[in-house]
Amino acid sequence: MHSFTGYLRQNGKVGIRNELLILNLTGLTNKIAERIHKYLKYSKLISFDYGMGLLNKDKEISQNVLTGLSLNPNVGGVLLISSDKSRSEIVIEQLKKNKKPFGSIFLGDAGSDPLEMITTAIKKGAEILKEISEIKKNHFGLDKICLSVECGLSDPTSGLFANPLIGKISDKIVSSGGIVIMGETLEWLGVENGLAERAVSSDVQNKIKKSVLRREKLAIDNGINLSGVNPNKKNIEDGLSTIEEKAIGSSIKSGSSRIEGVLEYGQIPTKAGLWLMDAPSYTPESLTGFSSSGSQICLFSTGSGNCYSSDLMPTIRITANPETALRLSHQIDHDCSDLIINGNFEKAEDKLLEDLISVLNGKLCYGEILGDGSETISRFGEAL
Amino acid sequence: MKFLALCSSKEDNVANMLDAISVGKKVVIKNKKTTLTSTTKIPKYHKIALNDIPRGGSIIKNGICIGQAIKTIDMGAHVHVHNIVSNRAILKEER
Repeated sequence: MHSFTGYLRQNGKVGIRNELLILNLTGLTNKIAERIHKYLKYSKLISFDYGMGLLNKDKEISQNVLTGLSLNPNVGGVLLISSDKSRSEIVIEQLKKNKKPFGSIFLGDAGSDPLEMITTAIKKGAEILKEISEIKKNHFGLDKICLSVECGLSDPTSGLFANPLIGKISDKIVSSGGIVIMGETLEWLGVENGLAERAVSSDVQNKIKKSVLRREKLAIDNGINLSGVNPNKKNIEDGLSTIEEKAIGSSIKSGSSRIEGVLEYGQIPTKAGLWLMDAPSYTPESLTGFSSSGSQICLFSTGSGNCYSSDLMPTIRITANPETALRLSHQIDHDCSDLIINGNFEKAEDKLLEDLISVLNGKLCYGEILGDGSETISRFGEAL
Repeated sequence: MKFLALCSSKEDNVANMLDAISVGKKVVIKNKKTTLTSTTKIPKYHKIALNDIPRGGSIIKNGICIGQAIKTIDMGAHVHVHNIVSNRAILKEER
């Protein structure tokens, strides 16, 4: 039985990091939040730089994602920053329900004085940090893990080696009773029938097919020729010819488990197993969807190199391309290029699982070390 | 020197080169145990045709159709965006 040490949260979820999250909810307070973040050395900052006037689905999803990010198990406590209380109410309600330590500071309450607000916020943030730093780590099984799988700047080695290897780890997490999430809907294009066959119900089957067709129609209706967009110019230069070819290599990250359902962008899965997320393919938006869904860790494959990382989820960058592993030795966390020579997936799986567990236990990824991490919340429409 | 290419499924008519290759070289197709001769230059990791593919013919990788040939492709030739296109998200003016 594989186990790791993590931080048990009041709602039963387990974090592999113990962050104070400064969550800025309004564009008006963006710079204020940045200054607070500078003072609180051990904090993470996520900023949603919009405000009133969001509509319908856009409003609903952005509220859900902001709530989801604040509930991510890697977050020990939250400092909410906003121009006024109304923007924070839904997040506060959920933080209370999940018994997560938090504070909320509004510009209105500081008489619209940023300097006063900053002082109050730094003090509050410092108190929360002191409180959460006392939480002790305990041992847990892989059933407490929500793994997300992603690829970015893929080349043929991704689909032939790195992604099938990730697929084996996905199967391992699912068979251990954990959760796996795969997004990038456009990269199910051409393989949707195979994915649909793995769905637990005909309802899920239809959802998979509908999500793919909707996104295909989005490209057609907007006059976008996918050749040069997805696959992008670099993918093509490296040898991927069509979206179908890219999708075969990409979707293999999900492994072979049955598919429990299709999540909305950033939605939290309701039970263990493999889930798909209907979401944009662009890595920054995609990873934030996973962070919001409660994923604590991400396996991220690349062909020619990708410097992106989630800020809340340690992101293990993997490549099977030996030239990339050599050239970007301070970007790539896990080199599995041996697979090209020996094809020994069993050995490679043991090695990656060992590395994954080390990261769960606290070993840092290059994204964390070099501060590459960021979170980018997708927008889904116009604002008033 | 022999060059290696990797093909994932027995229905496939393309394989990925594990080395860059020039014209007239012997290529061993790893999990198919066949050999063929390259008829064009092919960059590392790019695809090689395992048989002659007619214009309009399906390109099969991993047992799945990844597009169609827009011109005749000879066995041993480089298969890429210059001779195949996707079957998906086709814009009206392209039909």
